[in-house]
Amino acid sequence: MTKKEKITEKTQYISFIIAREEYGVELIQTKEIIKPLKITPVPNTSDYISGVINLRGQVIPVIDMKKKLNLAIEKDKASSKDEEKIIIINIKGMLLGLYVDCVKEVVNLKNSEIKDVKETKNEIEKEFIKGVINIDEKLIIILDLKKLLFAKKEKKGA
Amino acid sequence: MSSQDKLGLIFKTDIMNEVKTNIEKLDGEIYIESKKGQGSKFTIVLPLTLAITEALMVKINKEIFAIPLNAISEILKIETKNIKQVKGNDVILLRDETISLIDGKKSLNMNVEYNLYKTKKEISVVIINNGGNPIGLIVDELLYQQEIVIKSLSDYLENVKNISGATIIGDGEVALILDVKDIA
Repeated sequence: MTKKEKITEKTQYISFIIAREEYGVELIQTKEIIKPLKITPVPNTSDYISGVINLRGQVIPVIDMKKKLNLAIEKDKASSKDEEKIIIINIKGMLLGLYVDCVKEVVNLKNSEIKDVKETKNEIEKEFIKGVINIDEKLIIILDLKKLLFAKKEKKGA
Repeated sequence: MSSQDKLGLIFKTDIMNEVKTNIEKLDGEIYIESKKGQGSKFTIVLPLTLAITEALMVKINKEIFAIPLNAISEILKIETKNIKQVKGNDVILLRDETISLIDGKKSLNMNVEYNLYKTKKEISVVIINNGGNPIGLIVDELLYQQEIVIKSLSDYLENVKNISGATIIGDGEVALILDVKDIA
């Protein structure tokens, strides 16, 4: 089997934890993972925008995934502050940071392994989820970042 | 004389030459379109990421903000007992001119109580004059003046009210640039 065939057959996902739940996004969309830097809050923006960071001279907005996904803000005791990371993604030609509790692993998945979601917990809208996958009794929710981040932007600020 | 020659002639004059050199210094471009009897159109293209400006750095609610210097007409320390009221708005009298005061915390929608400045004895006010009526922006602290490189605030956060861009300050943090046109 050539290398090319392998790539087309499987997609790599990076998985991370937000509020005790495991999520995944396509690895190809991610640029790097960094430790949290000082975030400068930006006034008059939606509350899920944590602010902006300076990534080697570039100003990049950081999205608080917990707020974006409307997950309970309650802190996960299992993951410590040191584990918190910012995943830098490159989407539609823009760099954005996703603030997550903890980054887990890279998983290789066949597209056929991803199951459609029949119902979701009401907190997350179904359209933002590409599917779910079961690996070793563990459920990973695959997010559709394009839909999640660019769905009709709510009115900003007050 | 071809139009190219005519352009050359314009650039030979000292002023245009100065303009062109400075634009090129910022990695920008200038285009001139001319129609006989109709005038000329000058198009200047500047990359936002490389625009440099002189700015006053101030502190509002513990965060550092930059105010472009060209919009500032003066900086004052005002004793709060000199604040007067006109139609419920706080104003100050400056050389017989009434200037309304705006609390920086309020225009930045910060999650703190506004208009607390009256409890202080003295406040720092930046007088912003951007063509229209001058206004007095109340800040917590005046820091220093420095040249800043204007960076855009990412397309994802388009048109943020009262913020026109961002810059990176000495310690590597991001400081936001106030949009004086919005505030004033």
